[in-house]
Amino acid sequence: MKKIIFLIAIALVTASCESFLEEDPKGQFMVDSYFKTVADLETALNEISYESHEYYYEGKCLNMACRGDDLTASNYTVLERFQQQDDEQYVASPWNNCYKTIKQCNNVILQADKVTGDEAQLKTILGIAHFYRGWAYFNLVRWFDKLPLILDNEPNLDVKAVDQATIYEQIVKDIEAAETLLPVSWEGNYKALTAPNVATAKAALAEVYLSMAGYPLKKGTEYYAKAAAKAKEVINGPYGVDFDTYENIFNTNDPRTNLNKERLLTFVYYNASTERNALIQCFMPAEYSGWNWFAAERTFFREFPEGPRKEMTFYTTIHKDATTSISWDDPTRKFPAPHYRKMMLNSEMDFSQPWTNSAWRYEGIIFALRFTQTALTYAEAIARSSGPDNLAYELMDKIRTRAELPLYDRGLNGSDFARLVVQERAWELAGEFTRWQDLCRLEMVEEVFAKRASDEVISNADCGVPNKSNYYLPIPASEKVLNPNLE
Amino acid sequence: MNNISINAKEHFFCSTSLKRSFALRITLLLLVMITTQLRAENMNREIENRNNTLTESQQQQKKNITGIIVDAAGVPVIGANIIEVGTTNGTVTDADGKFSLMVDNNARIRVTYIGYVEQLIDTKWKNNFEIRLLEDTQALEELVVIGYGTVKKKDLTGSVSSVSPRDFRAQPVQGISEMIAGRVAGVMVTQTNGDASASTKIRIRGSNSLYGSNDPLYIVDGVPMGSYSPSDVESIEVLKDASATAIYGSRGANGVVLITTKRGSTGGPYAEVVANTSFATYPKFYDLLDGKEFGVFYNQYFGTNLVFPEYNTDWQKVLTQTGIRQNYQANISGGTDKMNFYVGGNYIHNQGTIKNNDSENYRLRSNFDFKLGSRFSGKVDLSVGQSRSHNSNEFTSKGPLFSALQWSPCLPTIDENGNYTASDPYSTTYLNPYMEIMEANSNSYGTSVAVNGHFAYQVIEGLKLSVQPAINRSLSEGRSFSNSMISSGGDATASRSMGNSTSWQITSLATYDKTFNMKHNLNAMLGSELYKSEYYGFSARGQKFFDEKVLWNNLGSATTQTISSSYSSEALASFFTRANYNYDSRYYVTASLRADGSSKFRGDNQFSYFPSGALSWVASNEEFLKDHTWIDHLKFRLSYGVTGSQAIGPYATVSSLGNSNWGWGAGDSKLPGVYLTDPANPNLKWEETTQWNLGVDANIFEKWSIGLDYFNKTTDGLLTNRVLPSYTGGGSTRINLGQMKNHGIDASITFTPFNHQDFSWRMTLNGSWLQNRVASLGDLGEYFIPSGDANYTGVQLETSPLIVQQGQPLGQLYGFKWLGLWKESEAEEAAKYNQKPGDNRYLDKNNDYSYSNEDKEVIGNFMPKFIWSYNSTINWKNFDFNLLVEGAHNRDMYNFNRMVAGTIVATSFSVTLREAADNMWTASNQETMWAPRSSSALEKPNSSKWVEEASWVKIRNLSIGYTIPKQLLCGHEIRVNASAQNLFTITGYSGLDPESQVNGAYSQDFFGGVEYGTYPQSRIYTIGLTYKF
Repeated sequence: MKKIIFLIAIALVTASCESFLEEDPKGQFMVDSYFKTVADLETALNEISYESHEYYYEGKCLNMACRGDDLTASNYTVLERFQQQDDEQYVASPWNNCYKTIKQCNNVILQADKVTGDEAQLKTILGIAHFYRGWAYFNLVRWFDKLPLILDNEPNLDVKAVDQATIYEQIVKDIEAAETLLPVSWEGNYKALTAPNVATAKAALAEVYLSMAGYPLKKGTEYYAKAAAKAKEVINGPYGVDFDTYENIFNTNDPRTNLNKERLLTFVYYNASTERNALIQCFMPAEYSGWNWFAAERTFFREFPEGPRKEMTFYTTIHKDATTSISWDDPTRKFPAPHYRKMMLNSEMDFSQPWTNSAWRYEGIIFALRFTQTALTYAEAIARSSGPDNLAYELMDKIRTRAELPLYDRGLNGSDFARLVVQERAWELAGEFTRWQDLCRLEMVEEVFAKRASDEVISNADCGVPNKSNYYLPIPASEKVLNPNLE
Repeated sequence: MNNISINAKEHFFCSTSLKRSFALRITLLLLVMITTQLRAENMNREIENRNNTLTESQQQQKKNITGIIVDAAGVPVIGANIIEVGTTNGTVTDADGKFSLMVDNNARIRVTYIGYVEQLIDTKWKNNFEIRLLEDTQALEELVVIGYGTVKKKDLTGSVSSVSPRDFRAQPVQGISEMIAGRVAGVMVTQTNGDASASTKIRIRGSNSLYGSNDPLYIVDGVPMGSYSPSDVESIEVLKDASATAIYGSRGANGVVLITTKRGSTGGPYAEVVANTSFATYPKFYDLLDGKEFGVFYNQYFGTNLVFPEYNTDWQKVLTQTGIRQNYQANISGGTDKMNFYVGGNYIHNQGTIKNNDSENYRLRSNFDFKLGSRFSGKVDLSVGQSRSHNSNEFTSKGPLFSALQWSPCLPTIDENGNYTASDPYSTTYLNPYMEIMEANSNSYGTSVAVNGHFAYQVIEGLKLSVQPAINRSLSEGRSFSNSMISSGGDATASRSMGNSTSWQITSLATYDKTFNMKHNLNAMLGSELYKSEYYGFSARGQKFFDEKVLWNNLGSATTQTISSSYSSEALASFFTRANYNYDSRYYVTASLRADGSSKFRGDNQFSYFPSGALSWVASNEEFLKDHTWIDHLKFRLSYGVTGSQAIGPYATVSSLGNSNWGWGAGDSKLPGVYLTDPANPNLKWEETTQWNLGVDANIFEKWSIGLDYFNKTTDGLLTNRVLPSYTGGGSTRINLGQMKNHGIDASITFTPFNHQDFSWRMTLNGSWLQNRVASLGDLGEYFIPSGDANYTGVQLETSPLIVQQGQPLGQLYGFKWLGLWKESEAEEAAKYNQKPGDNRYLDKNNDYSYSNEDKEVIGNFMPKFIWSYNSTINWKNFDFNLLVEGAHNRDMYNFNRMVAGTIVATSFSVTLREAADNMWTASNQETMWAPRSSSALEKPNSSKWVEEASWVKIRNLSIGYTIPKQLLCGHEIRVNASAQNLFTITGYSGLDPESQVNGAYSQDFFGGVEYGTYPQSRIYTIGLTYKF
């Protein structure tokens, strides 16, 4: 009898292994089991916004932009000098950042089918994910001429790269989707300042069409018309976006309170632990304890028309101490280039005094899209499709008035008008990440390079000769090592 | 029928010529008595039967032999077995040691008794015998604990080494690493940090894994849990080859250490008290300039004319002290034949050789055995432990011991105003090391309780069923405070953390032992096991306090508060079986199989199977070797098996989401959120090690015992990281794709030249050769640089000074080859590198006149290829002497301590090392290694300039003890002893301790071989007393 009891005891003890070996992580969130409600999905948006903010961190995205005539670099000049190397951190950084954003967006889009809850909220969540994915690919396609198109999160180590046309197709798809999903505004919501809304999507689409119309896709008139149409929807639409004064856009107030009327796509940084950006440090003169990495090119500065716009854009007198001030081109300076005042905005900054603090507050605000840009896009696009119309002249008049400059002549033909608009665009958006892309899509790189003054800090003699093969970068070498199919 | 009376016990009680502990002897005696009682009954029945069936003619060919069997002291041995060889005919000796047996005319008899060497005697010429048994000093008859069972040492088919407490009795040991260091061939014990409570690295036959753990499995009384003090240890077995470890399946790949604690014995109660007090000293100091010399040198070197403060501080010495260690153990045991008990306690208090550092440990164990009736027996063991440590383990890398070599000797530790000297304007940006040591306040506490039960039921003769439930509960707590002086960022930080873990295991076994026809011995075992462990973690941290006096007791008053909590759990369900068969103790076969189901793996990978087999031939029991009496025992073993290492943590196969709190630019408050982290690999599985072992065990000339093993292991499915391209979002994932190979020889020779009552000497020499090779790195390619983070070396190298290469062993050091300093005559060549005479010259492999990554090569290896130890114990009258020497050979180390004290590099802005100051390069002193001040000196830390040969031989223990004659103490037994540990090191290495290496937070075996800021092992002087009553 005892024997039998014993045997049964052993049998019981050794039975039922199934649930015994199941893992239950409790406190940890697992991808397969976490996303059940719309509220869960909402929490996954944080990282998308965070990574999109990171794109501008320390200005690594600007080294390529220095090839344009508005910016020049002092610390890493290989890209600017058209001696591109494809495995340096300044090339890898935007690549890595954009794909990280895309990964998080893919996650949200894929999980959307699994969640239940408020339909309206789900739409806005998907809107944000689609928008930022499209925007990340848009950033990438303006840097690299071939890219892997990644729309899911199964790591694929054999994927081939596709050309820009395919990527642009996806960008349009994503931003058009965002256009239908995003709300008109986020007022009263913590997302009010930095999340995209319908107007943002439309303005972004306008930029995308404008880019597709030019080199290398060269879709031409049809896409200029599309760009103009989209831009018009923003301009005439009930979105509350309009021109605002330079003072309202570029000031030293707390960036979290900057509610100017031009905002379409904004990135805000203030001095908390994760929401900071040392971009401001990159533009500060060395005399002000800055890193002095980026400044303006002399030719561009000299050709810039005088007026309040120039005063707002550049900073030319450096106050070394209470009694001594020097000019930006003083020969004793290590990097004598005019500085971008609009990129030096900091609540502790007093432009008339020398800098006294030892450390900068890493705050700032970046307008990746604003009304002025959309207005200029409309003006150029309409000029290149059906010809400049009244709205185009009206917008350019407002811009010229704001800059206290004479208005354009009436009755200009399309290409002349467009040329003026492009020049105005360069001045309005100087140092704001757009000039280089404009030069590429309009195939103006070589022409602009040729007219650089001989006293530029980096003279033409130190550079390679720009041509179409320098317009875009090849895929980073480290990626090709991990996936040889990317060639 | 033999009448065995209990009175026989008295003989053993009084006898002083026996060297074994009488408690063990009595237990064995009882076991023997019981089993022989039964066997005698069986045998006598058979003998009677046979006698009844013999024919008359056959009876005429037989004779009756008689005799008496005594031990070495002439005392009659009761219960010894006498068997007629080749038959089942036998008997046992009676209470007077006498026997009588009917045997064939030409018979031979075999006399056996536990603890004594077996004897074969020819009966041709005699009928009456006086047989004197010799003690089995080579312990062939002794029982050895193996996985889920015990076996006699002579019947072992696997590679198992035993360590008994008498091996380390003469050393003040505190933990398992000290108990087995230098005592087991094939086991390397490395104390990488001189802190007494630092964890030690124990490696059995090399490192199998890159990223998984290489620690062996520790089993205490059959369960992987429970605390014990050194005086509780009955025996330690180290299982090395696959046939011994495969029974532990997916946890056995790194070897298994079995610890068996003492049980009580009949009689008593017997008590023992052991007290040891030790003085630990810092072993070595660098010879640094004193305050004045420093000032003179500084002005001369920099061409300045500064006036220096007039202090003289040796920063190494102000940080160190003589630490006092106390170790008290007491135990009491006893029992009857139906039940027995053992209760033991231990208190340890260690003061570090670094100031403001100490730790404490309390342990209590209670073991209880009982028998109910004749079939049911059980054990209940309870162990509890409590520990506390203050600022321990703080010095694994960088830190105050490193800055002590840089701080200017002309500065005081505390200035005239009574404040710590705030900064060093001359030499370094590091904080005042004296302040860091004295203001550190980090404490950890631990409490653990374990209960282990074992209940066995004898169903029929030979068949036993048992159930072993065990449970362990541990609580760990941390309380730390870092004040604004030493906290990075200048804000005081305080934290409290708690960990709460519960593990339980239930093992069920069915064992069957049977001997068929006296020749066929079978032992079979079938078992199942369930194991589960759960952990709850919690921590709270406060930053920036307006009143720092609250330490960690008012985290709510901090400006920034962070809290976190966590959970993890794992489970294992297993089935296993083993069969041991031997024919006539000559031919042995063992086979085992274990199936493990782990919660960490999924799908098809959840269950894994681990088989093993072994063949063994005891050649000395063969007829053709019986005449060679100089061979006491000769065994050949061959084994093969597969074991595993789980190597991953729980939840590693599921992609998890991280926390991402973000404010969307709107304000100061952040919204909680999640983000997708690196993708997990759902197909992860265990690392699998396949091992062959070929071994020989020989006991010859009654004095020599030789063991030799050749092993060859291959570990497949090594966990490596697969770096993901950035277009997938970057990061990495884990895959099983690498391969590691280890092969080598373990040799062990024990020689007992003398074994008399008054004088005995026993010495053991162990040696191991190991060849390790990283056969494949999977996806990682030809090599990878284990960078950890830049702080691993703290000297801001562009990459880490280590490398792991495919096809090469672990432990490679990687850097530039140093060719000396440029000579005056080489000025032209030097100019091509933009350097001048006196600057450092390195090998430029690609002749591009610059020193870059392409010029680097392997410049050393920190893993020893050969380790050995020598342990010698002498007993002379009442004195005992012990010497334990260990050595490790064929290895190198970087000495960054010396570099930072002697050159201007990284965070060191001046020179404090006397050797460097007195020996700088000048045009008239060109044969030196110390470069003069130069902007092109290019002092490169990862270069062969700082690599030194670091083989070592250490006198690990030297002790003398004296057992005071009982007559002088009214019958009490007291032994006093004095000993020294780490007394002396023979090495060509200029650093503080060739064994101490940087490890820090990196437990992978490819990290090591660097000295900077490491805490060397102390030299310890101990006096102790043992009192038995």
